[in-house]
Amino acid sequence: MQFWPWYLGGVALTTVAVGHWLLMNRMMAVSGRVTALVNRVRFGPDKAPALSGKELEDALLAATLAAFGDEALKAPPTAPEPAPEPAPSARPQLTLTKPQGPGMHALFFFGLAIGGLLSVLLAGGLEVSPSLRGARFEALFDGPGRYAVLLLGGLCVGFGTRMTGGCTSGHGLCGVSRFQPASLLATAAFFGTGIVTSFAVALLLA
Amino acid sequence: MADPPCPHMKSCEMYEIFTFSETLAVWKTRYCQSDYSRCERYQRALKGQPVPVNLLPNGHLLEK
Ligand code: SF4
Repeated sequence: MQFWPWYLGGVALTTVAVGHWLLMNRMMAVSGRVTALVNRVRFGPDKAPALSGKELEDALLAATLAAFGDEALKAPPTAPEPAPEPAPSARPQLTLTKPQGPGMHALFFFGLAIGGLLSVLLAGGLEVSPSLRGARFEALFDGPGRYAVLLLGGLCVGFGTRMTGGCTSGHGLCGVSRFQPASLLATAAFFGTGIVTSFAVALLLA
Repeated sequence: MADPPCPHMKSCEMYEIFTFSETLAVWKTRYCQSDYSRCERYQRALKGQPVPVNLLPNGHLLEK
């Protein structure tokens, strides 16, 4: 199989991440979409109304007055001199962005699968095998053991992804490029562990 | 010493909305910048539950 040069892979990934942000106005997060689909099954559809502009301002003001009464109308004690309120036309439009529906998530995963399939077909053809394509992996695990290891690996990846709130796309691509401390730490942890594990396995099999 | 602010501030859509006007700043001083652990949004996120976009820290849902 012929893989793309690493730098072209980097350019393609960047284009996808930036394109997603520009087109969808939100960060690309593969595991986030999986979580949204699972939540939909567990908790039912999101019933939040689409609110924006004057409608949202009025609802917010009413809820604020109901919660805090007159206190809401006083400036916070430590706040500096309040800046003059901009004219309504100059103010940014207040919007509560509704989360995407399951159709959009399904479309995204469909695209992901088709992209992967195209890439593998262009690289020489599709061949399904229960292996990590490493001689060491094949020497160490045989028969059903291979499936068990791959299943266990997948479970560990899923568990870690949920626990840290992101995967290689959310933390690795979008979080690291924005210098988010949690993403830097998560990415260092999962890549670091991967490097240490591969060296450890190589040593064990030497 | 001042209380640490809510660790979800950067990603919380409602926090961004609270910066919109002086009247809404009371939510920030009462929840986001002080006692954030009693915020309903924070608690749901911590439990891994979905956080509706229209949910306020006191559990009230903004409606039309
Ligand atoms: S306290 Fe609640 S509303 Fe404020 S930033 Fe944290 S999660 Fe958002």
